[in-house]
Amino acid sequence: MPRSSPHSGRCTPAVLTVACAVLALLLAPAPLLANAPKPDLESTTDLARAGYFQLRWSLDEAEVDHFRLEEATDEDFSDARVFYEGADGASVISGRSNGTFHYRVRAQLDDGTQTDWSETQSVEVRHHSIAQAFGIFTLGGVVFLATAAVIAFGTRANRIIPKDS
Amino acid sequence: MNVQETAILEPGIAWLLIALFTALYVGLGWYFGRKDKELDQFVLAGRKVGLAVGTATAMATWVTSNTTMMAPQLAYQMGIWGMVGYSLGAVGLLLFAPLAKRIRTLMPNGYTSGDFVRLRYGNVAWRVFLGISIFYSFGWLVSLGMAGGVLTHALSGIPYWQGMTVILGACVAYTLIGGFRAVIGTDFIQSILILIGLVVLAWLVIGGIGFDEIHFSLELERPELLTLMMPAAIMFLFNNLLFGMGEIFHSNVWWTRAYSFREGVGMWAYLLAGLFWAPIPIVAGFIALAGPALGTNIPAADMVGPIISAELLGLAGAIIVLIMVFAALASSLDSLLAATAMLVVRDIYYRHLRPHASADHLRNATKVTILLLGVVTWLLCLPRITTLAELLYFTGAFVASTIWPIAAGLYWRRTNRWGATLAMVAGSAAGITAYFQIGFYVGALVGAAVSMVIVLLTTWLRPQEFDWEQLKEPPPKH
Repeated sequence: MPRSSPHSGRCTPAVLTVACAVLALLLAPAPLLANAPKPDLESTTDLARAGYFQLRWSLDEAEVDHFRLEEATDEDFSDARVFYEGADGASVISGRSNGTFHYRVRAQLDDGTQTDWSETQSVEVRHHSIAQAFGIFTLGGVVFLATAAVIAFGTRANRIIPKDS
Repeated sequence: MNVQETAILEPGIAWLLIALFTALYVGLGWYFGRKDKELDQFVLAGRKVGLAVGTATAMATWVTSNTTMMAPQLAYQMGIWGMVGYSLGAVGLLLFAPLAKRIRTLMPNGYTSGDFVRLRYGNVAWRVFLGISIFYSFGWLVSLGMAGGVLTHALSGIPYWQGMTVILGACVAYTLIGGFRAVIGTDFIQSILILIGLVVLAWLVIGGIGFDEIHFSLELERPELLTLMMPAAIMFLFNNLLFGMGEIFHSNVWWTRAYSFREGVGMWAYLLAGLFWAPIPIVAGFIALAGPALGTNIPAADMVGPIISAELLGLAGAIIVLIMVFAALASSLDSLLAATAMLVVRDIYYRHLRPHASADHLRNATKVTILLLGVVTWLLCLPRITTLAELLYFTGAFVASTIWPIAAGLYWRRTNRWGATLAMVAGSAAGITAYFQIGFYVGALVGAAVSMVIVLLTTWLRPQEFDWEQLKEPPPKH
């Protein structure tokens, strides 16, 4: 049985390994940058009582091509979805119903490498109670109606008694 | 790092537009103010402003950059009630209409809102009122200056501080050159620019994206913006209405107009201005609700209006927004500079420091004050400490506490000076506590409520007889 020679045109295991490694490098997502700093991620609040908040992120000392912000309702990001991908450094989230939302962000650098995920930022959306809302609404209505009444009756009284004005 | 990735407008085009409109406003300022040599003409346009110009100036001043930029912000944060609540600011103008008539009748020779509080309630209340009014003026001035920077940055990527500096500088320049007549004259031109811009924008947004798609995206991505039961938004409704009333009832911006209108004009000018103004925040706010349908990232809530308009309408949209918001911003900034300078000069400089100053001296002092206000505002705008809405609503607790002392003071003889003073102090304290404990959307409401209770109680328990003739102070002999 003829032995295969290194120049016979057939792949040796070593060549295959190198080729696979090169292919993997080309096809795989951008590599993680070992020991690279992670982006900082922060929220304007941990408890959003009106359903909106702003997330801000940044990565110093690196040329960032773009960020990827993910949102999940599950703490381990099993249901993560891409919330934003681009070069902005902040995003306003609004109109959320009650619940806890988790966020993480990572950066892709100009040289094609990717940083690790930032620390997770969690925000709880817990709207004010409806009772409190209607209590304050009613108070506002009373103040408005009373003020309007003072002006309406005052104007009317001054029309009737011109010398008063 | 910059929070804004993309900008529709080339910075060169943005600078060109800003330069063109600055030249236009400064030129108009010079033209309108060229004959105003007397103090009364410089600060009150000779007290002869007619109905058309009066309505336009009231409307344009109330259509601030806050209306065109904060109404979208509030719609983006609080949904439908956010923009409806903002439009309730029109109630302040409508209710000030009869007050304007009353003010003109009671104080035919008045200059400032401070004059009324001093004559009606005495020195302590007057000084508390001046503190509130000047604090509010700076809050408003800073929010306007910030809006200039935010606008140019959102549309063109021009650094915030550069846009803010140039727009603020332009407004200071023409207010300084032309005085109050320039303010009123440019307001007329600016109100026309604002109305045309808004109508075109709304038409393009509705035609370009459609109600169904906007509704579908909101329902999917941001459901609370569509609900009428969002608690914060429910609280915000009357808060904004009362904040608007507080702003208008106490601010010298509106009192100077009441003094400057020809007799019989004030009531109708304010009524018409309120009616014209009411739909504007709805139209401006609606633009923000198109955001989720477009999938556009909004880095800061107060940038939503310009970003969505530019994203949806491209270069044309960005140009319309820049011209319109610059007009809205300028029309308020100049009014506020003029009115605040007048309050500082008449109520602080003249009344406290130089009671024998000549008219010429006061005219020059007004100019120097306008310049100083511009410099201080610029310094306060530089750090961009918060969003427009949160900055402005911080002042809400203070101004809403003046509603009842002003309204009751104009109509009731029996409201007493200590009750009015206490109402302003305690109302402000309660409102600011609510601002921090609950949110910016309740500060004004709580401030107004506490102030009302104190005025009612003190008027009932310690009635004072006031002679309206005391308000007819003879004009100062300069």
